[in-house]
Amino acid sequence: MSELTHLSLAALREMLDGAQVSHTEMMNEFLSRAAAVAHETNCFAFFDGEAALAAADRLERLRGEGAGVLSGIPFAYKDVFADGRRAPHAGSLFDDLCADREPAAVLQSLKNQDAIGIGALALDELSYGATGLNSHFGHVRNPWDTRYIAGGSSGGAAAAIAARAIPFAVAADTGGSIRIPAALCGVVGLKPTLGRFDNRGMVPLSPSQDTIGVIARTAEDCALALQGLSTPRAAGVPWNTAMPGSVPTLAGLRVGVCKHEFFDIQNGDGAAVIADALRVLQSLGATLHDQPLPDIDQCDAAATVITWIEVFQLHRDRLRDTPQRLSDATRLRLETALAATPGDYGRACAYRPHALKRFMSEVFANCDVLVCPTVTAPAQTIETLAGDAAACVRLTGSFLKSNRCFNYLGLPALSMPVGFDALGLPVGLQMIGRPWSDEHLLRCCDAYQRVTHWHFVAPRIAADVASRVD
Amino acid sequence: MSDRQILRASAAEEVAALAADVANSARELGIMLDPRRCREIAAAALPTLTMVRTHCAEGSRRSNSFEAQLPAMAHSGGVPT
Repeated sequence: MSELTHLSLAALREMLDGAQVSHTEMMNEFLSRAAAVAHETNCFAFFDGEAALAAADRLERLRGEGAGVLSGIPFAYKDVFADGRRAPHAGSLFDDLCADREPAAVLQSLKNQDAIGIGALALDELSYGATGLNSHFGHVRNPWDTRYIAGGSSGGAAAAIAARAIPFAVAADTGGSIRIPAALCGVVGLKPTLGRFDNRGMVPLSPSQDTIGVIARTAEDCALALQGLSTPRAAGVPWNTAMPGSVPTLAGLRVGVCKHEFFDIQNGDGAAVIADALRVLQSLGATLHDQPLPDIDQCDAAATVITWIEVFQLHRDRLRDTPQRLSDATRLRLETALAATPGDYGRACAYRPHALKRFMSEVFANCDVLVCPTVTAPAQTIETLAGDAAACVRLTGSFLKSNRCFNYLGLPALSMPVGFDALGLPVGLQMIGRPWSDEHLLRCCDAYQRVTHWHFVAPRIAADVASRVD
Repeated sequence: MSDRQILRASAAEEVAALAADVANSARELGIMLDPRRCREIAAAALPTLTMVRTHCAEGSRRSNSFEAQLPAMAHSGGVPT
């Protein structure tokens, strides 16, 4: 029965609809797995199995009344969303970060479709980091090798998906917080177009860049989860499952390979994995060319300044009044904002539409999709980083270089698993699209996944945990 | 002095000036920072701020809302659909 947690959302739906498994059996299976995985990876911040089982039991009694795709499907969410039960802590010691007590708009949307939230997922303190390390509540461990970091800030979400604890997670991305851990943990993470989803009920980081998105093992699961988040503001193209066995073509797709030092991968075996992935895209009919990116240094710098100032505005009083409740790494990052002036913030904001316009006319005139490594620096061990705030800040900066410019531009971007490096850790390829081409990116990823097997490979921890659950 | 020495001296002055600004901002906001930390912040932040102050001026004359611009930039991009 433990194979249940390895199934796609569509397959889980079929099993429920065909009464091959009951809602409570499915929920019990995922809860057992989640509890064991949480113990190994520290991926959960909060877990409410009792409430999840009660919800599954309620659905069981209503069975057969036209359930939607996500009805009865377990999921979890980054601990930045109000869930109507407990205040989100965002990996911090503070419980006053979100004024909303009603469930966040996206969680309410999922609740309306009877998806069942089983708990909140661990993250970097205040979402302000990209390592998954958290000195308050314990570090999130990479399920592929628990000595290594999972990445962040949505590290708990990516680790839980990779270890088959849940089929999908809701997360948020301000400078790479979905894509970075998705890459390091070998799952698909989508940061949609800026503004696609209603951010109400979410602990903000940098409100002008925060973007709610999803993490799952496949593009198809991401697409189905994305539909579940839909609110009236969302405007996606409905996802229709391709014919089983059919291989979509990418013929005519112009893929620009990002050319800039920000995207130069630092380990040779990782670069070889990326090159293999690009050959697969070519074999599907896509044409590739090197694509220079105008103003990308300026976009990165402007995104950095905006983040400094907006995060500082949110947490200035905490930094002043209760600095001892913040970790060294978070204090270091918050204090950096003191170097910037309101004028710098104004320049960084005012430059944004100009940069987007130039990017559209000079980059997306030549290509339909951009690709680059999601992270260019190799993952490090927890032991190397823990307790060294400056090293954490440096690694975070390094991870953000290939990601945050796309948050600044508001563009949709995803990371997909494309293989493993010499250490056996996953390598992620990032795809970036035009505004509102979120589903298009997922289609491209889906085409890749239909001819590759990386998304089927499970970390050993998933099997180990499964044997103990059985 | 060689060009490189002049540049280094000039960068050091810039870091020192920015560190003084950091110290002032921290004092005004009631945040405790020692001088060494102010210098570290200044040294780390200077390249980013130089980039923004030097190269991001062009957009400052424009006033259109960023989010309002996103829908106008959307195209039905390539395949598959």
